[in-house]
Amino acid sequence: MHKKLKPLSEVDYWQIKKYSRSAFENIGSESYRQRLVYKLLNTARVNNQSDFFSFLLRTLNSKKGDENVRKLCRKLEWVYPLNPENFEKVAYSIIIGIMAAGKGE
Amino acid sequence: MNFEFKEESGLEFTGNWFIDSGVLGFVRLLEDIYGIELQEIREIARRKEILYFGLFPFAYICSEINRKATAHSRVPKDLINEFRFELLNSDWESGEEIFEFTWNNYVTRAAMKVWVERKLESVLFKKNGVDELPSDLKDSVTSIKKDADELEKKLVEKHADDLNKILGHRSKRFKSDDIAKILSVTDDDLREFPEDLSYSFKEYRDCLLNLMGLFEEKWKRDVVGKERVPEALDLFYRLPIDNKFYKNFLFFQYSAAHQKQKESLLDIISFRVEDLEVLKKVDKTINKFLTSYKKAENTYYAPLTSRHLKSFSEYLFVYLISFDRAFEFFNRMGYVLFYSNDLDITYRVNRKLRIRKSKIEDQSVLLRVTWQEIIDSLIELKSEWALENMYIIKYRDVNSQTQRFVDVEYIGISKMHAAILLDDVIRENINHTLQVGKSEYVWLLEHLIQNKPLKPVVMRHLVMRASGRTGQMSIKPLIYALAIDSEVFSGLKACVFEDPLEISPRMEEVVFRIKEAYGEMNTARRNVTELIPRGTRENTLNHLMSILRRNNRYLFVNTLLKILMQENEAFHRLKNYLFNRILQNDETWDIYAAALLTGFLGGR
Repeated sequence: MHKKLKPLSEVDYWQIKKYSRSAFENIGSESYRQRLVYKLLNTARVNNQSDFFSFLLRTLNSKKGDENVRKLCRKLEWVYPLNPENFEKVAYSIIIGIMAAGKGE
Repeated sequence: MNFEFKEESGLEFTGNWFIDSGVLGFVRLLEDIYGIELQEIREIARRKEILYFGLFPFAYICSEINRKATAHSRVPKDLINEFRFELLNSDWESGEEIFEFTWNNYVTRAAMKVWVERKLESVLFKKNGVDELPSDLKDSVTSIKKDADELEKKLVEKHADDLNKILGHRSKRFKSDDIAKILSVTDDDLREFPEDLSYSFKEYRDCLLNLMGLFEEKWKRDVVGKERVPEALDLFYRLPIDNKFYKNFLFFQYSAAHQKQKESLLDIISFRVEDLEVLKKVDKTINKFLTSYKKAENTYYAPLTSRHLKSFSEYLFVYLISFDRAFEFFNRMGYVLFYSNDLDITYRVNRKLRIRKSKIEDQSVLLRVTWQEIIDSLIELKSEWALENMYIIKYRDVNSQTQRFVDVEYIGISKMHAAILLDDVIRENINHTLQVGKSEYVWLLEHLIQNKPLKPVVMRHLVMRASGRTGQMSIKPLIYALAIDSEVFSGLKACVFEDPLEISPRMEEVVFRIKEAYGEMNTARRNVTELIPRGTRENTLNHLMSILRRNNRYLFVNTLLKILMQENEAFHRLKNYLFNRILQNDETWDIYAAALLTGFLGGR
């Protein structure tokens, strides 16, 4: 039996997007983020949850101490694991967040 | 049961399509004969007696006469105008007085020529035609007929070829159709023929004219302006009218003599329920669409007698006998009537359909033209409530035996659609024909009224555009169509019962929301067009389109994000649209995505 999955609301997606944006303000360079986004897009496209999180968490781990990173991790801890439908929404929320980060200046 | 009409004139629809068709037929009848429009008829209707006891009977008989008449015997326009002028500019005491005046002085004059023609025919071509004549005519007619018969024989034997040129056929005798032709031949026409023929022909024609003169004189002496025709000749002076729809109904009966015709018309107008058997019940006798009162008794739980209807509609039978006038004959389709429960809109649409009659050839064109007229009338009248109940009624032919309905089609527009159509901006923008195939075009407005989603049409059109197979360039109609789709086909929770008080505010809201959606879509589209380089747009358009057609939301976002990685500015402008309208939007994301695609096309 699968564990009953948590229902996600619009607010959750919005938070995930916001947290990823602020978390990635301080991570890596512009080109680093761009490479990451490419990798994430590819994993999201084939709905590969384990690879997606593996790439994402490896990056986040390098900045463990950051307050914003911690918020994002807590949020992810709460939503994980995800069914395919929710995963895609979460994944794209994160990707949009990352792309939005650091480009506003 | 008392029924309060909204107009003082009482000339309004009742809500029963059957009676309403009669009302429309009544209006059309007056329009055809006098050339007056609905508004004018309504004004005259304030003087009810003049309308129902004067204008109506004259118009009715005129239209019946014209149906039977040849080019010579149609009721002359001058007579009609003279009658109308005299009727409207005199003072009258009662309906009966008006009717007497109308019948004695004008109906009789209008009917004279057709009557004379029929008598002439019967004398010339019926075996005992002469014997039926009154004694004072018999002798003179017999002698003229003798001459005519000799001349006819001579003409037919000696000049068969030349007669063929004049009459268009060869035969041993003249036929009744030939009379009109013979009378229309002028002396000039005869010059090209041999003198012998021309002489005999003229003489034959003179015989005809002589006979007609005799009859005319007789009619003028006994009928025109007289209160009663001589009793012995009552049947002789019968008006030669006949209608296969009302076969045998009162004055249409062959045995109904002149006096009876006059009386029964008055009975119908004044609705004398008690005196007249026929008027007591409303059944097949008056209209073929009704069941028979006697034969199919079990169709009635309670027999419907016209007494009950009298307070409902004061001139019920006037409308009932005008019923057949409401329909218009269209080639290949039969008799057609557009019906909605508002007289104004029904009248306008039907009149416009009649004007465009020649263009209407089959079903699809009829519907399209009808829609155009409905929309025009809708804009003029803003008569929103009538739009919910609209029908197209069709029947093939109606005579005393058959009643063949071909089709009754419901074409009502919902309140929401009416609200959308009443908005000028939206209507103008979707009043647009999109090319969707090599020679296939779709009219967006029609599609919307028929409650079909517009997005598939837009998608098909986008495919045409992407492959450069259409010259159409405009963008606005596309975006409006998508905006309407996103609001009309989504978000409305499926409640069976809804608080009626909340419905109309929601209707108004829908127009507002459509405009908002349009604004958002249009901004996104412009951002795409302006911020993404042309080359990138053209390269990815087909790919994105095929993803959208496969309905793959995440792949669509995925691909789009890859493009936007290179385009900082564009990404920042579009990210909220992507996030809120596509990613988060489970119901209508495809519509918003399609709107985004229009940006890839460029164009105005």
